[in-house]
Amino acid sequence: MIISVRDLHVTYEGPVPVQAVRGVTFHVEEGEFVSIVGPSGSGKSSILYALGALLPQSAGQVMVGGVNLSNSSESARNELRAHTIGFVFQEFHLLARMSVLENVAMGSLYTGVRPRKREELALRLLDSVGIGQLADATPQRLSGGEKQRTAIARALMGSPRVLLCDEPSGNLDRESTHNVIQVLNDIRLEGGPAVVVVTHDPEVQAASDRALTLRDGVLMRGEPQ
Amino acid sequence: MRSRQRARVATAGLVREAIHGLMAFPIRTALTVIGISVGLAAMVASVGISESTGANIAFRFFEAQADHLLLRTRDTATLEIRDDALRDLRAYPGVQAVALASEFREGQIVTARGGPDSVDAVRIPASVVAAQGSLFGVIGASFTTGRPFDIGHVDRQARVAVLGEDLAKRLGIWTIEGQPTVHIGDQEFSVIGIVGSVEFYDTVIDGLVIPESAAGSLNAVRSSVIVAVDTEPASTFLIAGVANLVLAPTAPGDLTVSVASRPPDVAAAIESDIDSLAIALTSVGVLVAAISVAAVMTINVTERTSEIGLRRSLGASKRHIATQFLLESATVGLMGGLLGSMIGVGLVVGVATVRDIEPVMSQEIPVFAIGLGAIVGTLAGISPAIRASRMAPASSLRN
Repeated sequence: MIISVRDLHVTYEGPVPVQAVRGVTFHVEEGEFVSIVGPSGSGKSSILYALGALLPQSAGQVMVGGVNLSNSSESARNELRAHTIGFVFQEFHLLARMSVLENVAMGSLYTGVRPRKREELALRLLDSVGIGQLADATPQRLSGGEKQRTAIARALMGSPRVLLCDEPSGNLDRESTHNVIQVLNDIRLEGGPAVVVVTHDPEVQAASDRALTLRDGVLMRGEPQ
Repeated sequence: MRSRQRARVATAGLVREAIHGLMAFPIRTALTVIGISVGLAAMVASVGISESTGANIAFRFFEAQADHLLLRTRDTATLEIRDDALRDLRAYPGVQAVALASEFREGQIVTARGGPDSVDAVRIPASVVAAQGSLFGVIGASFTTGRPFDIGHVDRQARVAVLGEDLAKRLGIWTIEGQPTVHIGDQEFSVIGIVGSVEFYDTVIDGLVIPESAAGSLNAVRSSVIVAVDTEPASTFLIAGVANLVLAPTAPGDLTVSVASRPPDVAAAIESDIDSLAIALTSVGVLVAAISVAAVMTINVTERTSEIGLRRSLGASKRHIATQFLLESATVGLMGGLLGSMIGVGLVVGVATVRDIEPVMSQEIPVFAIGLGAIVGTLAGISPAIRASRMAPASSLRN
């Protein structure tokens, strides 16, 4: 099991505390493709960011790649993000001033890999997601689908064991969505990381092994008993 | 276990990221660099112009206070200064006194106490000057003990010597009581005085002076002829322009002329005051530049919030984020320092050319300006860098 979540609570502090996630429990096996679905505000992204050690959990236990995020240090969480977890975002988050190749190579910037080796790996990954010919282009010249494939390649740079995707098809047309699903499936079938996708898209949900349905921060179904 | 590997990045990688970061907003970066360079250029130019002006003031003081000339035959010259030429120079308007002297080659061994062959002899190479008695007055010699030789000593070809204080100390002679003697080669001379200071012609302090008439007994080669001239201050430079023509009308080029003056203390003080004022005024400019860098870096951090979130998602630590923004800020400061330094030096040269004065500036000032730029950039970047490092990754990504 690569991810284990037990009784997870996420509360946003403020004048009126908001309980975004309430007592969620689930797990993800190595190489599994799991989607998290539910209406807006149901706590999907909060779970994803908690899994990615980007959001502190309020209560419960989250284990990713054998690391217990509940009691891990800041440094251990940084290392986990650098070496074990890859992120794909709806907004792509590509840096406009860098080429596609540089954007992808940036994926392992904080892993200690030498620049030349990073660029070699980035080229291979760009080829594997089908946009190797765009290595020298700037992100502004790419279509939405190409941008998302660049972001996926970047997420794979650290050879992660878990790929966390936040609405990866949210800004894509039907054809690009289909291509991105294809890429994610290919990665998985080639012995790649487990994929956890937060999505509203039925096509993405249909491509996953199983879907976890959330409503008001509570897991309604999807976790085997 | 892979996840236990340290999330690290080489400094070179951070520098590259910092340069990429600056290139995200090239016009803004360029304007910030120009902003800081203006402040630092003002500093370099102000200090440089004040130094040039101060040096000019010092020269004016020097011109006004100069009251001695020293003419010396060149090494290769075999020039003889004729008595009538000396008389002509003495008669020149503004000339108060003239003295002729000869220097003998360095390396003359001077000994004290009991002669060169005695057990306790001290043998020291020293400059030997043969002169008229008037030399001491012309060079403004002050005696710590004893007196100068006079016309009587000269007429009698008396073997007397006046020691410079430095040589006297090396020979272990502190007083003329007990009638100490020194030997130049095998010739003995009685010490009749010790000179503690001179207004010019410092050779005397570390050597000894004997009457010109007694020099014939030395088995030594004359190396150069010296003419010391005491002048009225206002006339010094005028006389300096003609003295060699008067003394050596057929070969004026065989004589070098140097002008001497008391140290211009007032000029140095004025120069120092101008420097202080310039630094105080330009510090304001540098402070404004620092504030502008801090403001621009704060805007950069705000506009790059999602990038900060992305970097955190890729494993960057708070320290990585802070270091990158600090490096960006320091780089802006460094570039501003480099540019400001070049502009400042250019301004100093330009202003000096227009005002027809010698451009003078300490070598350290441009280097200091470059360093100051980097320091100001770094300091100005501290607050924005800390702010960037403290941003919550999840909310940064949603920005």
